[in-house]
Amino acid sequence: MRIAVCVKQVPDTVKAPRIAPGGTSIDAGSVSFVVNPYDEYAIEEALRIKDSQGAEVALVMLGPESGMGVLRKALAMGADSAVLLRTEQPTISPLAIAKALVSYLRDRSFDLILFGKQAVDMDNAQVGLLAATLLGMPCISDAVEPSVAEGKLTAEREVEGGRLVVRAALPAVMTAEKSSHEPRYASIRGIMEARKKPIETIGVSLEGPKMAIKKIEEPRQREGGRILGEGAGAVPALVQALRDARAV
Amino acid sequence: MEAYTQEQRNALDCLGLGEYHPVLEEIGKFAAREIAPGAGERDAKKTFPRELIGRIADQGVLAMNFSSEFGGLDIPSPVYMAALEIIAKCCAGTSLTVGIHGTVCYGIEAYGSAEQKQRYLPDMLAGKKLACFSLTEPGSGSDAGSMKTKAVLKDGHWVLNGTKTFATNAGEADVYFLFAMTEQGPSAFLIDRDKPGLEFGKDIQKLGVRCSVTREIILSDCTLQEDAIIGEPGKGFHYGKLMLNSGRVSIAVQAVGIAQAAYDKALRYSKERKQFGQHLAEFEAIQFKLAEMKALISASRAVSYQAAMLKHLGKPFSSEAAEAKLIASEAALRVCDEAIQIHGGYGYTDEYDVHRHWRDARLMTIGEGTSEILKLVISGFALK
Repeated sequence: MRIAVCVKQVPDTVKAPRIAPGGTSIDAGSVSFVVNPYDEYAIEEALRIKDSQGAEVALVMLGPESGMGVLRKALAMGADSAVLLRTEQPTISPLAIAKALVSYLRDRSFDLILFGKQAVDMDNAQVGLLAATLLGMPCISDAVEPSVAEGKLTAEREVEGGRLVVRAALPAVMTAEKSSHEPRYASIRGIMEARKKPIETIGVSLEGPKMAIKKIEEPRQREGGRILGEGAGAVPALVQALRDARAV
Repeated sequence: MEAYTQEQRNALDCLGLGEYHPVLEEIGKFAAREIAPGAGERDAKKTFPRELIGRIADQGVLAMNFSSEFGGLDIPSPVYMAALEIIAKCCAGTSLTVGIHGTVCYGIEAYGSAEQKQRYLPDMLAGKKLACFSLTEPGSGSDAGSMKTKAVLKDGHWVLNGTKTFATNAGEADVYFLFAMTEQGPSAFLIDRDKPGLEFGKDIQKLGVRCSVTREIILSDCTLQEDAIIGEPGKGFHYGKLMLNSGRVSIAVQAVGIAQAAYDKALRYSKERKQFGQHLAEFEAIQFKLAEMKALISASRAVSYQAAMLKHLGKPFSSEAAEAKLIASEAALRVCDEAIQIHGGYGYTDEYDVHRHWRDARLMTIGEGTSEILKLVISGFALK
């Protein structure tokens, strides 16, 4: 069984990034990069399938050369191979990203292709769905706990009041939601072995973007609250304040 | 908490070990998420971190510094010490448990017979067997040579009688590296936990590192096979000295980790707490304290990692190990003391947890060679 997991490197949300001069991108030097958290859940599910029934797990990253370190960390979790689809172009348009990924994924006999449901930097949540469409494969989105048996993928999705169980014939795509299957830590042995595993690099170019980032700005500073008084005596001041703020 | 810090990174780069950053980043991530959160509760309830040690072993930490021949990872000592520093920063009781185990593994790898190494090391490096190191007795601490536990060879068996105390991991461990007097002098033995005649006293109540277990060991006609001895009878202190060298470096880096934890808390508090209209961090009195604490930690880390590097290079490191432990443990006490002071009254309360670091640090100038003994060791080298 061959499983591909598409991973993206994203800024670590621990530290707030600085905006680069120009205001349309973040200063890459001001952040450290990590594997997109939802992609980690996807990797974990692939490795669980590998542990329970055997599978070959390949990681695919579209991104710059500087993504190699993050890709190697993901590889250290226990995947068998990794490939970097190298582009120094900004990856903004979900469709362009999906097309570039599909150019690699197509005709490589993957039975299952996993994505994180969205990347935590852009939050478009489209790439996995677009890739599945371009590949002509069914896609179970925002799903957890996939299992594979008799040529079918079964996965579940939390919905209001219950869980939807969805089944699709392989080859299929799934986009992963966070679940109780916490992504495993890379063992030290895994990290040491990943250093020796070859990571193929293939240069790709993205089609001209139909989207562009116009502006990035800091979130507005939250203003402090105002204490108007205490108890029933504060009510007139409260009413006035609400009127002034045109809240009523 | 950024568990694997820039300062540690720099220290490893200075030793030419930057290739191991990814290893320590992952250990840092694991420690911050899995070891740190429960530390205060483990200390309050004195809960031995059995399950956590298993998970630390699954990560491969116990195997780091040992030969792949026994399932080790052949990683240089300073990298393991950096990992131990991180664990100590998160929970000193856990790091002490790991550190002692590592010292015994080192002793078996260095001095065990081929059969002993094969029988014990793979399981110990995988965390399937936990080790205990037992030298001290109620009547002999620094004066280890006056120990009274005896081992007598009778009909091809060693029969041990005596009482040991302050044995970290005793009662939880599966393997005991224990010293007893034979006809020839102090000797070292490997004892499996289930041996009849090996019993444990209750857990000794301590000021700090309270999730680490410390017990008396009582030997009553504890009978061992003749090959349970490590190396040759009478050479026990020769083996013990080298093990203590490694153990002292591991205590030194744990002291660094404890000091770092206290400093981080004090730094954060000084930026939050306001008095007289400004943050504590704006008062020069506090700035100077923070500066001294930071400098002491940097210096302690440097000498400790350097001693570990000498070990890795196969060079003698007895004086350097003693110096590192002396410097780092004394520094940690000072740093932790100032950290409480910076917190003021709140530093004295359980809620702020900063006193746990002082309580943990207070052991480090005592165990594995008191500061006074270390000064004898170091001056011995100086005056050679």
